[in-house]
Amino acid sequence: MQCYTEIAPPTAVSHAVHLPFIAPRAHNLVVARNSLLQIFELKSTVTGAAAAESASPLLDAEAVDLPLQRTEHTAKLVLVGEYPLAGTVLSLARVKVLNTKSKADALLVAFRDAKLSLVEWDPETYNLHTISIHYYENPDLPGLSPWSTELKDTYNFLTADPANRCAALKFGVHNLAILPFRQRDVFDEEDDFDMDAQKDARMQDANGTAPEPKTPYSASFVLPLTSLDPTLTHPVHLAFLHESREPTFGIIASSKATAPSLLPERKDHLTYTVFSLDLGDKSSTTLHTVQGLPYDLTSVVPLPSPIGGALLLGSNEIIHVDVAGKTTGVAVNEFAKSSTSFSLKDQTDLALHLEGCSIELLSQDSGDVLIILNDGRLLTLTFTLDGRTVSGMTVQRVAAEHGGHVLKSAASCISNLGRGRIFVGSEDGDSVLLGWQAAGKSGALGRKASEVGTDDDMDVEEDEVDDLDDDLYNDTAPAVKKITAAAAEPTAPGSYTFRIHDTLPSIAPIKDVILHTDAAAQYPTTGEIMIACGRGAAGNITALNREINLTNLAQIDLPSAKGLWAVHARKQAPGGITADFGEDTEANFSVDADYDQYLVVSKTDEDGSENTVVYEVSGKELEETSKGDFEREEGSTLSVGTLAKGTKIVQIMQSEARTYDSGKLGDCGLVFQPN
Amino acid sequence: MTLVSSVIAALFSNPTKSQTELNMEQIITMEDEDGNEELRIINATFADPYMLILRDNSSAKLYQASGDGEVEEVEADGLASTQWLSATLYKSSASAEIYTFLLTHQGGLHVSFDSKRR
Repeated sequence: MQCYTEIAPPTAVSHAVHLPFIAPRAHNLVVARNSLLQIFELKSTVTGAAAAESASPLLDAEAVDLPLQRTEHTAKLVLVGEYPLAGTVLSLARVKVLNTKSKADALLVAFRDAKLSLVEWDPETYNLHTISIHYYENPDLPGLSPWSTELKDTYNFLTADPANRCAALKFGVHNLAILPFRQRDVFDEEDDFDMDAQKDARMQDANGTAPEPKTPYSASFVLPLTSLDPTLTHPVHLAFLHESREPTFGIIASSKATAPSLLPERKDHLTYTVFSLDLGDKSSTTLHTVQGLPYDLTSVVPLPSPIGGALLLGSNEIIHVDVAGKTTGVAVNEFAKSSTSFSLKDQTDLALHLEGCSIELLSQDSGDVLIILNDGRLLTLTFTLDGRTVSGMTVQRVAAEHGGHVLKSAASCISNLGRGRIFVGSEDGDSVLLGWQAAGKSGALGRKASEVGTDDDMDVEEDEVDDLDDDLYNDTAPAVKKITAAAAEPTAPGSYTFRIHDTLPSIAPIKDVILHTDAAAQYPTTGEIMIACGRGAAGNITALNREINLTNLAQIDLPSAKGLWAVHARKQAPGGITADFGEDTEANFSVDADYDQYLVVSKTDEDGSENTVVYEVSGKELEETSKGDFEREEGSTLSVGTLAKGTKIVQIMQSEARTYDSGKLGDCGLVFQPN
Repeated sequence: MTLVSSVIAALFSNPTKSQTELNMEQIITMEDEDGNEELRIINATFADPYMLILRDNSSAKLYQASGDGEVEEVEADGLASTQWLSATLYKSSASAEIYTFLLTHQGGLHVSFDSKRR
């Protein structure tokens, strides 16, 4: 029943994922605002004082190389499309499926009612296209009893295999729905095998029935976790791990419920088990188990190479489990000692509250990890490596002068966009595109500072350069050795600097509303609706208006004016420099072009005589000018326009058109009459 | 040689800020096919470097600003042979092509674009 009108769409960002969605090489960020899905594209702009002083883009680009190196590249998020969804988004995952319409990756969206939707981009309709919908709300699931928690109250989440073999939705008390995706080699095998059988099939189908198109996924199945291991009755969190031959996931679970009140009795009963899944047989193998984990662990964060394994995140400690099952942990506050007897390195002087924190891989090379606390402060987690195994971890605060305090609210989601950019979404305040730079290196950003060109192409080129470098080494072993040698020592504190590149404004959560429609709004401080929104340091008062308010800068009376034209006249490029004519007018209006501004007014006096007046615009003043040969007396002007990149002014009169120059240096214009 | 001399003259003549002088360069008169009467202009649209002018005898003429500083008429047979009710040029910042939209008296819409541009 729609008995309300939405006047402002949802602005709190709940989930974000980075994937090539629009095109195979695009850099898209898909942001879910609970029930609204937005697709962004990343564009790079050059900012900084030096850019404004540089000469017109028409001139030789090499001459402006020097000043531009002092500027910085800022990334901007550009909205491609937004789509309201029927349902609340629970999780987003990036999956690579075969034969998508855009040839890029697809998006798997999990909704609150145990529903999965596989979505791709359709470039023809410029819209989302649903490939398939899967729902698992089934009252006949084994293990469901009348007293077990309802589907909407359990902790449901989605996790996807980084190698795109399958995705798993954990729903209910301890059920796992697994959706396998077809892989390309499976297709090829079938094609090569039975050529004859295929031909026969086609002959049969010649009767008129078309062969069924294959779906990009195989049949999904529901696996109660207790069938993997009877002790997994209380799962906490699970995630698929990187770099494995079969789909492998690590799960934190216990056979008893966790409770801080029962610490004297139930201490360290959580276990972390890694299972390898066989999708064909629907069976699993246990790879290794870690027991005696602290009660407050909440999530599994898988790490790619060179570190590998997974991070187990708790409120008082962080534990790393590598691929062999070896653990290293660090305690970050005093409660860790009293709540667990797991061996942890002591960093309790940090006194951190890890509740509600978000973790994301910062740099693939060094394996460093970014942690955002629930008040927005930034921390880095760095590993000490002994050869290829992790021997220790260190948590370091990011100082305020390195951008450690740029964020004002907790993060609800965090996504690494690559090349030094991280998107941090928040439900308590504005969402932010954060850029980071490792100190001491100019980084990929500095290297390209001298190229002015189109920024989209530049991003693609950087990608290609990186790929070429990787291909030089056919086997990855020497490359991995290089990386781990560099990262053997923990990264020094203060080596990362963070900066905000772009913001997605948010008015969530709205605490209080006042309607102010009667009194006139004093733009910009008050508006028709005043709301108190944001949480904590991101709290603010926002004014909402239905219309754009204009500020009157100046008012000048032009009596009996019939027509008005503003003329941007530019001086012609000095002879010798060939400029392409007809380039887009944006170049004409760029900051660095040199302008003379004229206002041409066509007037009709009361006695019927028509004339034209030319005013020169200087700041907010209009000054009548009698410069030049502009035709003023003989007739009214129908229109005024510019040609030849703004260097020629054309005055259309009743029966002829006249062109005027706009300051060709030193040379006065020729009068040329065509016949 | 003339190019070099005008550059040198430019370097030594004017002060730093050049003023637009609004000196007249060309007068383009509106005449019909026979070259007899003067036609009134109904409407003119601009899309750098083109200018499309519609006259009161329902004929349209297309002009182009060439690189050497002159505005010349562009020969377009389809344009000259038809009677038009309305004509306009269109250029979007998304593409480099310039389109003309022309409406005939019978209500037909003709769209053409400049395909030689890059």
